[in-house]
Amino acid sequence: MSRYLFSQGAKAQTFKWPINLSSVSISGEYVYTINRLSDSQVVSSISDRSLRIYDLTLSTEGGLLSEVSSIYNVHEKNISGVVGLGEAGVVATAGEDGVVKVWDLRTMKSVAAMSKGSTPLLSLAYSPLTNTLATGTELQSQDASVFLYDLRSPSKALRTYVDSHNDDITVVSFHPSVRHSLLSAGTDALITRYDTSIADEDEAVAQVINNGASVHLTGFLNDKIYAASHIETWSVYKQTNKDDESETEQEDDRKEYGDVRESWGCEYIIDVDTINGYVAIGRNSSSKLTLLEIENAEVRPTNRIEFENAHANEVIRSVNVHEKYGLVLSGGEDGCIHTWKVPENRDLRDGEGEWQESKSRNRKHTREEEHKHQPKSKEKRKEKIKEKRFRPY
Amino acid sequence: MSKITVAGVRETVRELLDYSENTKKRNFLETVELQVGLKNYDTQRDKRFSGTVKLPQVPRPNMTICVFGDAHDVDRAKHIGIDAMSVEDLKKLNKNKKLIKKLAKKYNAFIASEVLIKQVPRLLGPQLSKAGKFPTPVSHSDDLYGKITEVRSTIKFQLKKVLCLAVAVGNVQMDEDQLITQIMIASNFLVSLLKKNWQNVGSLTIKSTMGPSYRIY
Repeated sequence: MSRYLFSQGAKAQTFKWPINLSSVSISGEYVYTINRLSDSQVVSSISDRSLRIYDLTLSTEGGLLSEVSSIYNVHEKNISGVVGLGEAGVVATAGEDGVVKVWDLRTMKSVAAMSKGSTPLLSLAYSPLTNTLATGTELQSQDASVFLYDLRSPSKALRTYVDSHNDDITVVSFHPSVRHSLLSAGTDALITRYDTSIADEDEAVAQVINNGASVHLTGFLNDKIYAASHIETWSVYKQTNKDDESETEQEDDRKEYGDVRESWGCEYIIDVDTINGYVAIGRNSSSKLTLLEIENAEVRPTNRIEFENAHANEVIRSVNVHEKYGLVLSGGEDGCIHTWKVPENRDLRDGEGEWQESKSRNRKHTREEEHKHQPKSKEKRKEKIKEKRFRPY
Repeated sequence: MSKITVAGVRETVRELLDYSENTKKRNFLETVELQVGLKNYDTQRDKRFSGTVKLPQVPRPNMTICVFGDAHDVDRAKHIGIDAMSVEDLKKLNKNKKLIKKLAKKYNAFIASEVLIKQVPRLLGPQLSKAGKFPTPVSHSDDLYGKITEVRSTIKFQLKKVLCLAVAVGNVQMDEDQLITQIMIASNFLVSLLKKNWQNVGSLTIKSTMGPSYRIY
């Protein structure tokens, strides 16, 4: 795992650069998702039921997005999920029309469509380990179901689990490295872990967690399970074995952090990426996007990268990080996709100073900075010298 | 910044209580609900608005709870007069769907010992999930009575496809101050979750089960 973004080993630093390199915008629409399919290809789902495909030009200075093509009427209703299928230029989408479609972006055509009726689908996940798609539905009469499709034989659903939820299934998520391990969660506050190698639902359900609040995001975090709720609470649970009859109480089977809006300094959680190790959070009242580091299954609210002037007071819906180039893509309800670049050589003090000087946009900050530097007492100077001595650069 | 004041709410709460006490007294305990009407909110495109609020007082005191406990927790539950079942009791159900459904119907919520909760899917199958009543865990270091009160005083809210939702915040036997606190906490929490806060609120009304509704915002 390369650690570009949080590579400085710094534990309590806030990086602030208004380094929005480029942005594209679709006015009046929401950007739902952003997926990077390769170093140069980005696909985004929009509330006008379209997929937009962008070419990403990368350089050491950053990245530039340019729209190369688009597919309209991807579904008859809202697009609820997009996943890349590993192969270049192939994506799957789920729609509220109840259909899962596979798209070949070279020909811009749908190459497969799977459906089990018109119950809206709300979530989608893909496991490259088993070449399987999973999707979760809205509650329809008594049932909210999870369907699995094997992409080698997509004509028929591989698995159907109907009994494990009693409300809309908002998220499904595969384990990144363990085969057949799937999570589903929804507004009924339950998180279910399945062994998808088993067809019988009674046997397949390996663990159920009552999260106490409607689940927005869930997934595997190392050997644990994280959950972010719609009331912005954060919890981390251990995986348990249902055949374990031992009655000794284990510590930290569950760690509930409660409402994290204050402790993390945000208004809402956008996304969690356990591969690159960050939580993306937003603050729409001050147009801020922040990435917090996840280290050893713990979120480190002190180790944060903040981007200002993000998405004009609208909610950010999707964040995608390109670790290798320190590039961050964000999409929001203002219809914009921004690209941000975290400078490679960023010693906090020097970097910030230089940046502030070269950008007049943030004059207020510069003034504050100057103000700080004015009363140069002996002690402060000493401190500075000390700092210089220990600085690695 | 809250747009409703204690003084303003107090007046409305008085009216509401007066109506259900004096104008038309009912033979059951009326619940007081808070109704929220949203605006500038797109249920199709905007993020979900659902979750739970924990209130200081129990809004519906006659909510029934059952504890699935190990020996220690069964004892604790019996001590405070709460129904409890042990692993053996659960095993006796023998995964019989009818019996488990019956059990799920009998109670409003379940609590299970931390050490037992992992076995619940094996003992009872998915029936409790299906009923939306999968237990909340309690550990030995938790105060069981406190946990039960917490479960009882936590209320769910969920916005579906229409721009209004209602949550039970109390009952007409609560006194004025308690009811006001409940209303203030619930409304301010709900509003804090909206992306434009008070700009997303069209109206707030309170209403007892059988009484008329009173607008507070």
